[in-house]
Amino acid sequence: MARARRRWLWLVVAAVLLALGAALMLSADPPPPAPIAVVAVPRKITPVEQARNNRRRSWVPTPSPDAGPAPRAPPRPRDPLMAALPSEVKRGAVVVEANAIRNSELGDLLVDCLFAGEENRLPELRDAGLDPLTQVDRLAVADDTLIITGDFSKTRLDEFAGPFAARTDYGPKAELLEPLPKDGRTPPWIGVWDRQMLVFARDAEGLKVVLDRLDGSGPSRPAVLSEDQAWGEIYGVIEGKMLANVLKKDERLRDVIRATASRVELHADVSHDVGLSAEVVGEDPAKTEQLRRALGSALSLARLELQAKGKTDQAQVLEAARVRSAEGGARFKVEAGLPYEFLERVLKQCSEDGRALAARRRADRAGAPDAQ
Amino acid sequence: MRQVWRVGLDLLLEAIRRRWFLALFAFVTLALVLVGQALQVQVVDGAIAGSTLFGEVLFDDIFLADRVLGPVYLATAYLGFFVGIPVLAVACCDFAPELMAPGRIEHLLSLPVARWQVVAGTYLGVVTLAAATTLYASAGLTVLLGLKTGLWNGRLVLASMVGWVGFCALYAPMLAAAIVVRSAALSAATGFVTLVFGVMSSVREQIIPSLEPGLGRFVFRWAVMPFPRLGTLARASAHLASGQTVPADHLGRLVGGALIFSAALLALSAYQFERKDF
Repeated sequence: MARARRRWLWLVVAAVLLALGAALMLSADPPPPAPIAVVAVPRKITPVEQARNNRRRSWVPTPSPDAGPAPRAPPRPRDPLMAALPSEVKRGAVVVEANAIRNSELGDLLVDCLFAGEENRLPELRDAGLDPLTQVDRLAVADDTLIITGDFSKTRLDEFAGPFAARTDYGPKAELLEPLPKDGRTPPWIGVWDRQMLVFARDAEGLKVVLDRLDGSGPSRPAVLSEDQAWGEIYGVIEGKMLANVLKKDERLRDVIRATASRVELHADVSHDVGLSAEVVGEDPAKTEQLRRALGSALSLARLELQAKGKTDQAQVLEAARVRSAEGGARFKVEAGLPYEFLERVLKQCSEDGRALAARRRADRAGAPDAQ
Repeated sequence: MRQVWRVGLDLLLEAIRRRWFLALFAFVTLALVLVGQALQVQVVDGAIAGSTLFGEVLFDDIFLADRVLGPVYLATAYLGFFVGIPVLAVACCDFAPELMAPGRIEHLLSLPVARWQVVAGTYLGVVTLAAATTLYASAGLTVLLGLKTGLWNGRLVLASMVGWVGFCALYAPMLAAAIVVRSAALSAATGFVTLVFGVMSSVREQIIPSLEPGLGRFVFRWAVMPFPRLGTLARASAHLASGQTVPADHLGRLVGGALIFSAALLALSAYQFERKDF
């Protein structure tokens, strides 16, 4: 009996010593890296975003059908920005909710980063009657066209972007501004629609196509982005070939994307952190699965490379990235997140760099007359 | 405690009888002689001007001896830890199974020795044997390099003792395995597994991100937690050898943790040995 008791004592001693040893060695370990903050990744439209989309609808005329005897659809209110977007894009169409981002927790940091190196730019714009921090609502880029929505009722366009060669009315609500060539280059044509939308296009034809869509006189085809896809603070579609061109470093991955991905629909939540969700749509399920695996490997390798270089915070950011399969393999989702703390560090550094650049420019300007 | 030493001494005598000592020391001596013959160093007032190893020129500039010997000591310490310890583990893996050989164990248990004393004595005998071998090798290399370079320091000996602590942590699970199954091969395999887990426990924070969050990550974290930080211990040993600073507090915790782990495994061995019918 005593021997049995002594036997169990050894087991207890072993357990206690194991725990003690583990605790002692744990105290010798370097402090663990801070846990990665959970970043909210946008996955579907929220009620707040749905209400925002509803508020934006106004009576933009519905285009007439292309051909045939089909009866004209009853008019319904539409978001003017969505109405202005083309039905097809070669590179992509992306909308940025500038006002929402401006009023997010990252807004001040972003503004500081954007204007720190251009200290005169903001006062100049405000003098021209355009305060980008309060009057701009959304920005949209569709191939070569830039669309800005907001309140431009008090904007003096001659001061903002002029002078112009000619200003002509176009349709019931629009005005065309023909640019004067500057330094041998022709600046973009500008269209103003209802004093709430500025459209910048490479030429007059491109501009008129956009304004026609807003006046309901263009062809009736659904826009490349629908109101159902307007969620997150940044959203849009990017053509696969365009995405492949961005990846200059990884030639193999670039070729796979070019051959596989037909388009990518992306949504980014910038309300606090930046959560990114991109749905990659392919045509061939087998090739799409191959691309999914290649992207997953590329992310892992990039993270290991960063870790080996000691860039642990960047490696942690990549650790949160996920490649998820969806719907039969013909499409998959890539999700990534940039924690607020990481962005705060990056944006503060950007502001400091901008201020240093502005200080150097001031010093150069001050020194220039002496040199002469 | 005297009985423990007696069992340990008995094991050492057994090793001498089996010419085990002779073989191991001959092997170490041969390695030292080979390096001593191959390494040609010209000493110029505390600086080394050129050196060749096995006929290959290592460097032909004039360096401060200490600067040259740092990396040599560093590499030697790593080599000692990750090659020397496994070799020693294989060399010692049949002591415990031999101890429990039919006939011998009955004789041992008929003596006025408690079972736990047999376990502790066997462990003590083997780690003493390892200490003697490690000291002989490190001191021999120190003397060799001292004679060749004129630079004398005991860093390699100190580092080898840290390495020896690593062996102690390795041999305790080997002994436990040998008591469960009387097999030298299994005992050696346990030593290898402990070494691997010991290295993984040192770099677990780097490994964890490559595992999917959830059960797998949780199990890995807790499975490697009790293992001695053998990777960190090897680095500390190499840093000590090369003259880099190793905080005493950090080293103390590593060494203490490894020794407590050994004690825990010895207690486990004692529990297992008490249960066994011979």
